[in-house]
Amino acid sequence: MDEPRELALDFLKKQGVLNLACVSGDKPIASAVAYHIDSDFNFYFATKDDTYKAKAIEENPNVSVSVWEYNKFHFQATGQAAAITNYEEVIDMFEKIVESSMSIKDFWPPILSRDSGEYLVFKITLNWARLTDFRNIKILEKEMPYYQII
Amino acid sequence: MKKILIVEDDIYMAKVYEKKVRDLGYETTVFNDGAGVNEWIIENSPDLILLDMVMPKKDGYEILSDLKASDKKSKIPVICLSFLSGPDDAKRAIDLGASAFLCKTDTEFNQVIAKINELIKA
Repeated sequence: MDEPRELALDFLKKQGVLNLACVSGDKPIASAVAYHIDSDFNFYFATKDDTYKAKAIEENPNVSVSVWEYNKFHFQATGQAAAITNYEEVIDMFEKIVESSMSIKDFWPPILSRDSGEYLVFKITLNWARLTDFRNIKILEKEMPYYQII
Repeated sequence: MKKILIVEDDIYMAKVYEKKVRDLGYETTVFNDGAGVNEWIIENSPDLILLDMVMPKKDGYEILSDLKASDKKSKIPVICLSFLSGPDDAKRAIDLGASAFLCKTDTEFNQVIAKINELIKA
């Protein structure tokens, strides 16, 4: 069997959209965003600077993410998000995020935030992550197939 | 190789269009606002234009109007892609000479691809 980290990375590289949870004050919000992941499990996503999630992260960088595929894997993690400021890195990651989203069949970018300012690229540095492997799980199995990734 | 000009101010949308259109085997050039677009068209004669309508500096209607007023370039097919969804928005573009007007919120990209292929082969 593949090592859990390889298993997780392979799964995450084949996806393209994650659920991102952040919080502003006492109001949580979850969003779906297209992402790129590097080999150190850093996630990158783009959003406009006037969106709720961009403002929430500015106020509180703590985020949680999940990526799920039916009967395969569920990846859950927590970490901190920050906007990248290095111009070359922003351009490079923006390209990679678009490239990742293109792997999703019939992907059409979100178009509801038309007047929400300029794009920012955020990097999520994880501080905890686990993968659940649902490929062979039986309903009465006592041990859940969790793998600690970080 | 056939050339497609993409005029779209949302850089994420523009990148997605660019990659999808390149995957179809077309050469692409992208403008993220309307400035200089008509001048580029005159010099480069694209085979088709994907045109956003609401943009800074020069909007899609102005670009379309100037293009269709040009004797030499007026036959280049133009697909308008826009958030604008009112019947008058589409009629205005078609009256100016657009080949198609597709509302982004009601259109899947494979419909855009089908329209590109149809117009380029016509």
